[in-house]
Amino acid sequence: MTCMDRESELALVARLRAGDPAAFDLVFDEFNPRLFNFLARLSRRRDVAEDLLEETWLRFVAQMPRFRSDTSIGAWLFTVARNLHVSYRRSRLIEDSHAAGLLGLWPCGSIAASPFESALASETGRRLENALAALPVVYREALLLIGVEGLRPAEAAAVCGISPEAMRQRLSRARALIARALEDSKHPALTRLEEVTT
Amino acid sequence: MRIEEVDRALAELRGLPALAPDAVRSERTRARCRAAMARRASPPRELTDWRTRAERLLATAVVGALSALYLAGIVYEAIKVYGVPRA
Repeated sequence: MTCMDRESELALVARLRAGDPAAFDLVFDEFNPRLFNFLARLSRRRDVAEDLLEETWLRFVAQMPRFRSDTSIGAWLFTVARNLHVSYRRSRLIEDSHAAGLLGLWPCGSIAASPFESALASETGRRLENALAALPVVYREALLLIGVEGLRPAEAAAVCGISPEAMRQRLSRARALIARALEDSKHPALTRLEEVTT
Repeated sequence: MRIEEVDRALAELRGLPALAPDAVRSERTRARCRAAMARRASPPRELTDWRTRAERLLATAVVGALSALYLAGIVYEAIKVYGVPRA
């Protein structure tokens, strides 16, 4: 949990175990958008992300009374969400290379930015989003957990059920792959312009 | 692409626009979770109503009697076909 220290989190876990609805609301408000972002970028489909998100919360509520007193709420939720996505992929045999539907996820631009900044940020963001979407799912989840959600590599390793060393290797490979994908996605004209101006 | 550029791009990952879940569905999910919590919080209702208990007893008796009748019919038919088994 990023917005809460460990002590507060443990107190929250105790309240959740006791079935406190207000504690549940706190956790829901904190994690619902984050889990959706994670699942949407992992599955690359909004409808699937919504379904998996709902299932994650229902499992959370079902397991709440059995939580250990030292449970890490964020790690628990991301682990369940990730495992549900793995099960979904297994059941549907989704092709890794299928990136359609991603554009439908793209939201409107920032309000404060100028049209030029918006266009630039949008272009950069779009390239990054596309590069991320093109990664194999094991690398994508590593980048999403560490790069976007800010989990520590050891926490992300626990979520994915691998050793921290394996996660470091996975992350390193993901960086190399996204670098190549970003390079490939560069517009040739833009590259030429950069060469001229630098 | 240089490694600094990759690191900059990775730093931008955190700045990716947030994708918002459907608000109506989120509230429905929250309500389902709250309902599940409420169900668990309230103890199971005791069957104090004698009519409910009598109905359950009657239903069990009827099902039991019909099952016994069916079984007796099978045994009767078997004896008719194969005769009384000899020891």
